[in-house]
Amino acid sequence: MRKEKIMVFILGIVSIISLALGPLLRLLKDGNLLPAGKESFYWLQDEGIYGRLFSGLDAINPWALYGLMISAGLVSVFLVYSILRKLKFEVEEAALITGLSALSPFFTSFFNHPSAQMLMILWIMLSAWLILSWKKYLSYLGLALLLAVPLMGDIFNAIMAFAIALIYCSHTREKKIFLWLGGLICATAFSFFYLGKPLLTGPVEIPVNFWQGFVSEFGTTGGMGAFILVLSCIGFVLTWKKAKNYLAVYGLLLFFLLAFIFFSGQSLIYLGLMLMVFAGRGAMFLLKREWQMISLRNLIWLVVGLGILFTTLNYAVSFSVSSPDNSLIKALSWLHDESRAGEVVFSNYDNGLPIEFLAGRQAFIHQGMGKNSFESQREMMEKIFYSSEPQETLRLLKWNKIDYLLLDGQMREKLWKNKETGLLFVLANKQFERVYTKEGIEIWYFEKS
Amino acid sequence: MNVWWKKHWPKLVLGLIFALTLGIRLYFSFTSQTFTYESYFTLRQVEVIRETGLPAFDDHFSYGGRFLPFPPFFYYLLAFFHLIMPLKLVGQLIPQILISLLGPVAYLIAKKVTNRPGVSLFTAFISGFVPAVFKETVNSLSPYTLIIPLVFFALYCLMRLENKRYIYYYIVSVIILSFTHPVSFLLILGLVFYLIITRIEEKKLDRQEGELIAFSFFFFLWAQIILYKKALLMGGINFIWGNVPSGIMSYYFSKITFIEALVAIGIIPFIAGIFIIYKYLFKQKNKEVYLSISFALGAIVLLWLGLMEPRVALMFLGVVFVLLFSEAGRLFWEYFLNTKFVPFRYLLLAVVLLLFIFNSIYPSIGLMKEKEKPLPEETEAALWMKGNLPSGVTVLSTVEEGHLIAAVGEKRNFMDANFILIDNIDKRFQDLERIFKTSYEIEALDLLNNYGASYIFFSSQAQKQYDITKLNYLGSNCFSKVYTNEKVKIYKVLCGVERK
Repeated sequence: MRKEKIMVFILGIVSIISLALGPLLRLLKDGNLLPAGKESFYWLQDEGIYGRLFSGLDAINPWALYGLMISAGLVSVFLVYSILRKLKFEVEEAALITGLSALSPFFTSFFNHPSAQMLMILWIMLSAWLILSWKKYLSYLGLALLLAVPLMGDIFNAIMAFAIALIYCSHTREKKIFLWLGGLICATAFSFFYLGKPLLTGPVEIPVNFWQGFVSEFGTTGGMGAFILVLSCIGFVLTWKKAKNYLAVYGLLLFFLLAFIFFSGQSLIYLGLMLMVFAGRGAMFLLKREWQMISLRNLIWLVVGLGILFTTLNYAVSFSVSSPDNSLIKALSWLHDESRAGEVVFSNYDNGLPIEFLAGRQAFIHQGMGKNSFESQREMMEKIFYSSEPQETLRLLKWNKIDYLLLDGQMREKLWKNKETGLLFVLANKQFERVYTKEGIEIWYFEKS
Repeated sequence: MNVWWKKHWPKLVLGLIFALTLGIRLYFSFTSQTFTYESYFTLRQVEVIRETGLPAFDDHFSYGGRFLPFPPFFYYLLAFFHLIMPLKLVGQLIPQILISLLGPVAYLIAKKVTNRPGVSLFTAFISGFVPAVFKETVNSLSPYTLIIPLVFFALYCLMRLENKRYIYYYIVSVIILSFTHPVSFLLILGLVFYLIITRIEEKKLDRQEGELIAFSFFFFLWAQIILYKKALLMGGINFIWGNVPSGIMSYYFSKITFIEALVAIGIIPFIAGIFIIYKYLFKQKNKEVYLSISFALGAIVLLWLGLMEPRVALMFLGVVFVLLFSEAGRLFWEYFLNTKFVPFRYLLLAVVLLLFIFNSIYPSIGLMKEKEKPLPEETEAALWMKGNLPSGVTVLSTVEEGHLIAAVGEKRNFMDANFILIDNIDKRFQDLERIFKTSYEIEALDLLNNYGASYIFFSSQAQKQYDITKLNYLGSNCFSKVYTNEKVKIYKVLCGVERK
């Protein structure tokens, strides 16, 4: 019991450090406590309950919003641990699975950006935890909470809720299985078909190569660490001998993997949690195996530990420099002061949501505008960027009623490759006036007449 | 004397084989005035390490300036010797000593597998003349001169785990390999295949073997993540495939014909190797032979996935087949000793030796001569550039000559054979070809201006590669010849193209 308390205490400390490291580095680097990433700005501008909650907290004090996110992450960590213990995982294995999750970018990233999914995960875990209390009334309360999931979350949340209810009901031979599952199906149908809720919420996703979106080392901010993936593979091979016990996890893993590849990156959180079960098993194998060469075991653990730690640190550093940085914030604040309401700002889609939130001006393109509009605007954006006819570029800018153009370092790097064509070539025209230039950000005013 | 001879003759003969192999290699090395094209990259890294203590990861000369990650151990090793001897001597001597160590390593492995000193010595001898290895390593400052003997030494260590010091040797080898070249992944993949084959053949895996394999895997992964972290973040998974331009993909990963593979590996080792693979996969069981077979499988899989160039795969396959040959040699020798032809055994040995001279040594030297390297006039021209052209200018040359421009000429090159992390590599490669082949001055000037290239290094290599005798747009005043020798002309670009 004492051992478990120590484990939980260490787990708490590790989780707090892992969850707070990115924001803390961001604060130290730029003195910037603004949420990072497109998801954050999407949800801060959401008109529903989530948006009100996040923007309200942000308005009171940015610390309050971070407090909410880190607390949600921490509670989730303890809920995962507690659920695993209730599922009869040993103390060490449960702690390993939870610890590896807490150190993984997919998990930390999820709880470093305010989103509806973040709260939904917490809700689902709480439901699962109540269900697993094995007390009838608490289990029913948990199932009742699950019934609300399709009404508040996206399709992945609904599917996870359904899976939990199905596993519980079939495991306990619950007599009212059809009632609960039927209720969930009805709630899902009501939410997505009758109310017309979108299957997925959040900003429009930009498709990336599978590996690039999945493995942190290949460029994504919130993916899986390479070492954890290797441990997962070891765990997967080991559990294959007792495949029957893991059927539910295999099924969910396959489903979320396919969903991740073919449908949406938003399934990564569930996919990651499934993989952590195997990673924990793999780590336990390395830990509990009878080693002939103890020093080699220590060396392997050192290498694996450093590998996992580097992934965590790498995530924290990436988060600390993620958009919007101070230079963009200053530029957008200038734009807010110097431009008029209703004026349209043209920039890359990455800057769209911060333009809308921080400058309070209409962005020509942003990832909160719905998939179809986004795609058509993106096509137009590419035309403006790369058109070889200067007159055509001017015509397109005029036609789209663009007032300002905002260029940052990344855009310049991409566009400057060919100075002879496209937007940069056109900027030499008299109709453009550079009205702001600081720290690599330029704002140009476009005189349409 | 007799007792001493009986005990020590294998060592003496092995010493002679080593000396012979090294001697032949050094002969070719010292009689050649230039190294292979890619060696000039090594030479420059060694120089930079000697001057600054660090390799040129931020390379100012390659592609006009770029970030280039690579494992630095081999360059540090040569830089260490550069402290006590001139760079040219380091280049001529050290890689040849390293690759010649393959003979003793092959002897040790063959001795462990066959337990016959005679057969093992024969294996050591032919391992020194695997045509594919000979071609790529003579006169070359390639990291493969270290990797190939070290990979097989690691293999030998795995066979000798009963002796504790080999565990340490193995660990050190893995650490060195991880920081020498990514192709060391072959060791890891080979070991994975070894695990699979032993499992299929129901052979019990030694506990220590499993632990060392796990260590190798994790350490290699960790080392590569450390080395290539930035590159992986920038280039994603495609970085692994090396970003080779599609225009020369067919050259780098050209399909090798069966005959070419036979010549590169050696006909006798190839036939013997196939026989042993068949015998030990389907009829008998021997863990040590499985280790060699696993390596062959690893090389084939990497080749198939496009992660290893055929010339590199053939080097490893060549050595593996020589090692497998040792077991075939033992079986054949034991069979022969039971026949009526025993009195002719020395005659047989002489015939086999002669066969090997025609089958391995002769093709080795032939293939080595085919290997492209700069002409003395090219290095002379590059050396002229060093003293006569302003620093910071970009010089256009063929891809192969890129390292020469950077290392000897100390000027920025337009393009070299390190393609990773270069944006629009296909376009750059096509533009390079256009500049050499176009008949339109305006097109050439436009492209040269676009890349900021102000000199053209026009050599016989470029003439051969692009099938031209001269640059077709040289009539006007926009280009002036600033240097000429029998094989190379250097032109200065005098005009720019203004766009309206």
